[in-house]
Amino acid sequence: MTTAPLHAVHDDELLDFLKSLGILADVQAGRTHCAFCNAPVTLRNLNAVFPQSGAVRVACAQPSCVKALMQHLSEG
Amino acid sequence: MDEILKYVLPGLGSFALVAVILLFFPEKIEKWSAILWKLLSMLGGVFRAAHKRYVKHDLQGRVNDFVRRLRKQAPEVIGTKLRIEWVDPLTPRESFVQGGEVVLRLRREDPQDHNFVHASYLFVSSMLLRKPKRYLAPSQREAIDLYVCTKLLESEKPAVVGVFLDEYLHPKTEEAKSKVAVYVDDLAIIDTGGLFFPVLIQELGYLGEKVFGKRRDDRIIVEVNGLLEFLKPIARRKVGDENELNFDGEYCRFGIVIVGKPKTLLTSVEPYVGYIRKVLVRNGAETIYILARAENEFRVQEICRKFEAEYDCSRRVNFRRLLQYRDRKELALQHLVVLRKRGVSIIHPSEEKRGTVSTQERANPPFQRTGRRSARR
Repeated sequence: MTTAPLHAVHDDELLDFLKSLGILADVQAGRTHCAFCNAPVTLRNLNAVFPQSGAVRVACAQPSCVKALMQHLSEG
Repeated sequence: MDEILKYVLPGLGSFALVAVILLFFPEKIEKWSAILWKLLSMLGGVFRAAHKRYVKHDLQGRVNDFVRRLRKQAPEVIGTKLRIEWVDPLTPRESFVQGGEVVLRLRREDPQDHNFVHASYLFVSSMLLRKPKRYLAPSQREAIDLYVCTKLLESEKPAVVGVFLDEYLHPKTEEAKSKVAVYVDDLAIIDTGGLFFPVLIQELGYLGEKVFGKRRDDRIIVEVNGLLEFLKPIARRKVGDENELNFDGEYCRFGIVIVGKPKTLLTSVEPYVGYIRKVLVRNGAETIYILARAENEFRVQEICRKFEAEYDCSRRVNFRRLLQYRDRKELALQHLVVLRKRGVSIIHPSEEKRGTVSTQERANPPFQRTGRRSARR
């Protein structure tokens, strides 16, 4: 049976990852917004990072946004 | 020599046991290693990095163990195992944007086990029934994902089921008329009858093989509604009830044969063989599900041998199912055999059927003529 990768980032490397993507300062300052509910996303509620239309988007941990993320994945 | 046997053999026995588990149940090894990594990570200091390994192996071990057990009942359901792939924290922005992958955050401080809930839901959503789900209604898709994820959590991490239900299932099902709520209720009914994974999910897998690559068609949504309406009364049946057991849809064509009337079995299996040949085979059933008590397994094998030329024995499964009698309920060990017609065409000749089936019949498929509902999206 094949394996399906689920790409993930652990909290221990999250800051380095966000810095490499160029969004760390914005996330820490609450200037980034959830792609699905538009709520401010900070390090506390950040749940996922994904590319969309050439930009780096973030999703928060609200259950409705987690489901929207699943929908986004299934349509992708 | 006696001392060698006394000291070497037990060692070999343990080694052999571990080797067998590693070869045949690697998920168990992964679960055990996750426990060790968790204990190490609690020590802190130089062992802080052990938490990352714990999270990875805990997720992989538990989810893949569930997948392994699920595939025994419906092999086509999920064709892959979960593998957590840590992203390179120094991934350049351009490379990330071009790569197109969603990256899930997995937390260090996670008292409610959201890591497991989110990763499991993501995996089930993206991997379960990949082919047919593209063609289902959104509410059908969501209900199946929610229900299967609940089953995964119930079996692998019961402590987090409450979190998942509160955050994902109940908000959708609080409204009684919610389509997702109705579908989830239907799935639960079918599951209590032991027909959810071995029959419904299996048939959706077969359906996916037929329709994948074709354009979306509302008839597939109607067919799935019909499947649910067909299976519910069978799941609820009391022992001895007569039910419609043949599903003759546009995409799914199968029959369920319940083997077990004591008077019949005492004499011969020929009544069952005759029924299968004269009704199911003649109607072109692509799959025959033969369900019996486990103690009648040899009788079921007798029946299957009669159809070896036309049907391949796809699998045999034993599972526990709640049987409802008039005066009591009994948890009984059941034996299910799935016979799949040899050479079933993946490209279903629905184009041919469209040419011969009238508009009225198409709007009112055969399985609806017994008064079953159909139109729910």
